Amino acid sequence: MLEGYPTLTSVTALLDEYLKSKHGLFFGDKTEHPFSALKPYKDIHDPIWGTNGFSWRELALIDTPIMQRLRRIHQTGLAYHVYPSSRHSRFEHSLGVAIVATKVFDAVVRRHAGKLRTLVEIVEDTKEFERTLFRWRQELRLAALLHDTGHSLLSHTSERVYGKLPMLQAAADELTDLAAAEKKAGEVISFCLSRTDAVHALLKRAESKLMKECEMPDEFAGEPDMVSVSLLIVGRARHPLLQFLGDIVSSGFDADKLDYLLRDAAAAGLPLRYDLERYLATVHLPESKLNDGKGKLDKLYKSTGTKHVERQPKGDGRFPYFRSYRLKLPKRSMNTIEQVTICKLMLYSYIYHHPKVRAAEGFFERLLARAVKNWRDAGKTDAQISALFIDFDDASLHGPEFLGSGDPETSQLSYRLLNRLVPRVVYEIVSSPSGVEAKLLGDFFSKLGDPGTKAGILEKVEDVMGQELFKRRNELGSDPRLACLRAGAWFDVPSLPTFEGMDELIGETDGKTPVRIGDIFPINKWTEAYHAHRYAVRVYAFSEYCPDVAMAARKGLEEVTSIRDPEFYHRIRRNRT
Amino acid sequence: MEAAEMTLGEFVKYLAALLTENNTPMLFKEEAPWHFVLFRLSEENCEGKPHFLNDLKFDWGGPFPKCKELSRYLQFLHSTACVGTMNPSYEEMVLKDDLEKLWFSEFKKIGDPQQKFMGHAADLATKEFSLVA
Repeated sequence: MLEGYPTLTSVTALLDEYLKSKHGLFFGDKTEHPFSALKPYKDIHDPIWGTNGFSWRELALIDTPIMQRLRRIHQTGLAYHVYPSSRHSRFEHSLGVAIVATKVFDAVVRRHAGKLRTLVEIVEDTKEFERTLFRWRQELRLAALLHDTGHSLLSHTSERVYGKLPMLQAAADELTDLAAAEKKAGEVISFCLSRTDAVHALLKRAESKLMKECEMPDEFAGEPDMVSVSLLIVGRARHPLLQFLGDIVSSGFDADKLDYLLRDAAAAGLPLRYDLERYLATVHLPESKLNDGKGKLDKLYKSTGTKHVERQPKGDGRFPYFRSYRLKLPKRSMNTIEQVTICKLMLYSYIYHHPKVRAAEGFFERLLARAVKNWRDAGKTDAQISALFIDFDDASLHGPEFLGSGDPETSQLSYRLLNRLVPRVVYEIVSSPSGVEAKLLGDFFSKLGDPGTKAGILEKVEDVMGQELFKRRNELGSDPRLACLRAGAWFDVPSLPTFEGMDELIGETDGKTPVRIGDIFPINKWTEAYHAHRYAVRVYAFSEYCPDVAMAARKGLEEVTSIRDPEFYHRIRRNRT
Repeated sequence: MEAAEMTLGEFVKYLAALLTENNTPMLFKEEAPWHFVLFRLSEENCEGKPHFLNDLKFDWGGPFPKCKELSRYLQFLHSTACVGTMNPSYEEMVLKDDLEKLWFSEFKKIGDPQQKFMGHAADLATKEFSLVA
């Protein structure tokens, strides 16, 4: 029960019901799964992190459909259209995050045992130091394993569509309130799944099936706190003093990022590396203030019944706060921070913003939006559509909802996507405008970056483009949106890579003055160069419609940019001939 | 323009034009004052206040209440060359001349209550920025 968060409570109840009915063999009221005795641990080999042990509790969870489905979801969506070897899955990434989170946790324990001993006494009211640390470690690993269970087919691409379902949108807003940090629909599902009775009951049953004769030396034998696990998934901890645990799972420099950067690069065959050992050798836990000006964190800690926690008055600061310990890196781990930053920029450049990857993902997003509209028209509720997304994996594209759909558009577009007949670039506008139209383009870009006007601009371009397309190719139909969909035409505006939280990462150590990342590493220079030379907005279309879309899109762009000079459109046109 | 119609981007553009007009240096690397200004305005209840300010979400737990939408927008203005920065320090950002004129002329077209509100926002920003400078 989550007091004060009604939407999250109802989503958790829906997921609980879903798990019990859809996967009764694993989560039903009468199931005995896991059916055979569990080994205390198993070794799993990972191409990035080598051989690592996973406990019986983790294995019980790994061997369920909520984790196994992740094997069939590509970590980098449709990037394999460009990098054929980018076939790695959310499953191996989740194992990797658990491994990295453990490395960071163990490094913190090695370097700050005294501080942690004090925290155990204050937070848990116990002198059982090792046992408590093993529990925290176990909760951290469970959170890492479960953190991506909310993903659906083709990872983030589908999240942009199911995230618009009103039920999940409301839940994401509530989770944002709960965590006092921006959260999305995928995190809602991961958070709520971890809180279901079904998952809790599975872990209880697993304990009774454990082969007791040999135990891992650092295994936690008691019961993990699944409330803590769920909070760690969204980057919070049950107690403000333990915020560093939330930072390990979700923050500017978390285990998630540390794993995906190396894994995505390695899978694509890109020789990018960073020095994790340096990170582990330098990570520290300075005392910090957890500012809470609006009382959101206060509400959270009260809702979870956290003891021994006191919101401090603002004093000479601006806001009331909680005393906390945060994960920080000192100046001497600068080389790792530089490497991670560069890795991230390169991955955006090579993979995530690759024009063909954007083409495939943008096309798929439109196909998915069409499918959702069809389900809505057929009377499906938000809860039913959400359940579909929780079921889907990348193989679903071959199934009855897509390739086998009764809607000819959905079926034909799925066929094109599966056979890589994806759109091509028609126009490309770089983000550093120069020349006579610089002022108009500057103003245009300022509107594209504005969350209040971006959607309207995209709609305008597509409306005008669709109407023009109908005039030129009336077989595409008179509905502008449908005409664009059939021609594979849209105006693509990618999000910029962000480095939020990186400045907060550099912390004071041993009384030294804190430094900011921007003061010692030219992160702004790098991002500026990236944006100037590698970032672009584009118009796409299927090859057979490129000439018509070029004419139609020009009309749309003229409307939103006020640029009418033919020379400009000649310059931004991408043409193979 | 009705209060309800002003967006976050328009607010930032009018504010940037006003600050430039007043010769107030706009901070870039130190983002916190921008967020303090937005947070304080979101808490106030005065005439001409744009509706978007009531819907803004701020992340808590860091050194200042952080509105990610604002961070992304400032970054976007920089990366699309609407504003330049003082290399190599990146301390301040400078609005391009032609855009300043354009956005200031747009500011002049909004209603009186909104213009007054923006004036109040500019005063607040000047004060916040001076604390850092």
